[in-house]
Amino acid sequence: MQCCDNIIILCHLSTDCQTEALLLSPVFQDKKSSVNVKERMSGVEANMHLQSEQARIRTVNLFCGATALLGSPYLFFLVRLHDYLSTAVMAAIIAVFLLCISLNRKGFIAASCLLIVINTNFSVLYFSSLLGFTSGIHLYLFTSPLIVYLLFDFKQRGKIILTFASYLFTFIAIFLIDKYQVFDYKLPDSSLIPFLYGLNFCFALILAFLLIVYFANNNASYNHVLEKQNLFLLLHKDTLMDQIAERLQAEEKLKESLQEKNVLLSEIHHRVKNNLALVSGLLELQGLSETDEKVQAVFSQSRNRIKSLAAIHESLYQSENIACIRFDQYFQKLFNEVIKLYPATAADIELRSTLQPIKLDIAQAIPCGLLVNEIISNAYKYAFTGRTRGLIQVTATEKESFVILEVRDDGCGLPPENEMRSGSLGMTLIASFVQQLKGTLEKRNENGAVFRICFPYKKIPNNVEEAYEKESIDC
Amino acid sequence: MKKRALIVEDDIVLTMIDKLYLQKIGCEVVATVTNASTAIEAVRKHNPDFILMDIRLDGETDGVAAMEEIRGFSNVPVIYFSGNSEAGMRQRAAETGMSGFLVKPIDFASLKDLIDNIPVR
Repeated sequence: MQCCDNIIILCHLSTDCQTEALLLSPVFQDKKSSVNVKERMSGVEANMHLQSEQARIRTVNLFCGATALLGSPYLFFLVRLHDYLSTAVMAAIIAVFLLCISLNRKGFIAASCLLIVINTNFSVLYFSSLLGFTSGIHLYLFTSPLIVYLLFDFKQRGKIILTFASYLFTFIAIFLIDKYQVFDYKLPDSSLIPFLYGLNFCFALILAFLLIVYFANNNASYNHVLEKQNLFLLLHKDTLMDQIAERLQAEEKLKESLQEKNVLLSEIHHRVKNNLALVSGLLELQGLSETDEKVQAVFSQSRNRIKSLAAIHESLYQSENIACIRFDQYFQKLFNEVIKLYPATAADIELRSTLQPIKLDIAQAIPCGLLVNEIISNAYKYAFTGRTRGLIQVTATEKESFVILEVRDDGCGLPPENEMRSGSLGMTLIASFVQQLKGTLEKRNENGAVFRICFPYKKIPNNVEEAYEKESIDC
Repeated sequence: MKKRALIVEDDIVLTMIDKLYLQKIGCEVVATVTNASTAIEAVRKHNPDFILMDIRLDGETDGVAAMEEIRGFSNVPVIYFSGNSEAGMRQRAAETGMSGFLVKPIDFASLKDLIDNIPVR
């Protein structure tokens, strides 16, 4: 890569021969080279543009130099006429052309072009007014299309139109000044007119010739660069084809790898689900062999906890993104599992939920799910003793970067704090899950038991959330 | 009269648990198999009253595809077990004329209800 960077830089600095040599160098012909061909191409294009621009500036400088040189004889001519003001003007015009060369060298190309246009217009207008239409000064205006072509790119249409308009205006002004004899001409001797006309004709012709030579030369060099670029493309066609084939192969490998990962994920999911099913099944069988209802209830509660974990696992597996799950969808699954465990009471107890579609990451989803499972199971077991109907309400809202989870029932309410079973596994688990969520738990009686858990909401990163949005739309 | 069951499950230990449970609720397990082809053979051979069919089996063919083949010669009731409750999978299973679809870990009480609704053939 370093080698090719050097080549690109060298291309910029090189002469035509060097560029050609570099394009045909063995490094460029190396099919296995990992260098980006596109970069090389842009390097060559930049080089071509740079060369063309440098040639144009050189010609502008040549044009300015030639114009200054062709203006010098007029200085002697004007001195002979004893017109010192015009001599000074002529000297100033020559100085401006020389200034343009200096500006070009310093990179002020636009300023230089503007000065050239003003200077050519002014000099033709001034000396035509001074020496008359017949002196042939206006002949210089016929080189204006070539000057415009030299100074501006064809894309700069506004500048081209304005420049042409300025030359046309100058020509009309000269014509009108002559027609209405606005100024007295300085020529003492009318025999000088043919000489002046001839001189201006020749000088204008030389200027036009120089410009045409430049354009012809420039086109030839441009064609030469294009030929080299074609050659370069031909040389690298095979390299590009190889690179495309390599990329296709890599893409194929990636697809295969992704497929393998998906199969693996599916297999792991299958294994986890089977293992959970195994533990749950063993507990079920063990529970069935017990006659004591209390013992059976303990097994049942344990199975329920396993099912809460299984519900999380399933929600994650079904999610497009395995890093987070939707609170509301997950809870719905959980409720279905809990209801199944209390068939005797579930028919008469309404379980109502108002859940915002909060997205929880896995670290929060697991304790949160198990927590709700404990509270609801608790309500089913103890809240409605001796009652035929009841209501359990679950609400989850996100507020100011906190998730507020509330489970309330209209049952008999919580026993006084001192009567609560301190060693109860359910309450111990609830306290542990709240602690794990770094949240707070508030228990109170308000027409039944109310559990209010507040924990900081761990925002899902944007990229994960976008995937989630996509999933929701697909649903 | 005992209902005769065929268990199609790739996990041997889960098969054992299902078998024990079925026996506990008074069913007879005529065979336990782990893949689609043996499942089809077992249906032909034992003509069970119902099948407990895991969706994911050993080999390329899954439980639903196996059931599609079985439907060519038998209308035996089937209860599917699955690791996930994806709507697409459930739809495929429903098209084979299932008697039930349970998500693992299965709820044995729900399984019993489904089995009770299946008539002895």
